[in-house]
Amino acid sequence: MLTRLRELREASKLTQKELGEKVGVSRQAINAVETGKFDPSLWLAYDLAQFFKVSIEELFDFEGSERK
Amino acid sequence: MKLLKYPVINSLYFAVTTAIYAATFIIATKYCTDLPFHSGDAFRYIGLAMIAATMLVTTVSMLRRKKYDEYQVNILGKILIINGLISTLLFPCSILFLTFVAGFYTEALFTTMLLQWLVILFQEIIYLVKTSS
Repeated sequence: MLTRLRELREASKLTQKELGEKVGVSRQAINAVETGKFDPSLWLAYDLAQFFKVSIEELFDFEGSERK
Repeated sequence: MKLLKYPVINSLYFAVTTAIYAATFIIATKYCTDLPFHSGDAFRYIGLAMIAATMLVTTVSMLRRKKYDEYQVNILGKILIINGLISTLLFPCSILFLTFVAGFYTEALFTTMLLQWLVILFQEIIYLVKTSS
């Protein structure tokens, strides 16, 4: 899933570990979402979107991603 | 899948699997006394080594109090599937091996069991290392 997560995280000057702690997941999970290796659950996507104060559609590119 | 997020479940799975495998090896010592390469005592030592390794891995695993997150649970699920596939493949391989070297059927069966268990052990260790960083 294509995402703007890395861009938003870097803009907020957060490390993957720090962001993971904010939303309750591991550094590996944040890395996997950022690199498109793992599609987050709806709840994790919601938590990430809430944290960056954007909508889920703004955070994840549903149109440009392949449906699994 | 929800249960997999508790580290204790993973530890329990590994401990129970080892208990069955190690017990098989230790019990076999009593009945396999005259094998071509050894007296059968090797089975007991293998069984005891399995228990020792499992105690170590399980203790490290139990020290983790934090639940696994959804990404880690996803990886663990995949590991269990791979485990199942390897076990499924090893069974016909051991039967094939038995066909070619029928005289060593005890060794062939126990080697297969040991291989299956080693696969589980290495997967557990890799998973523990990967999720602890």
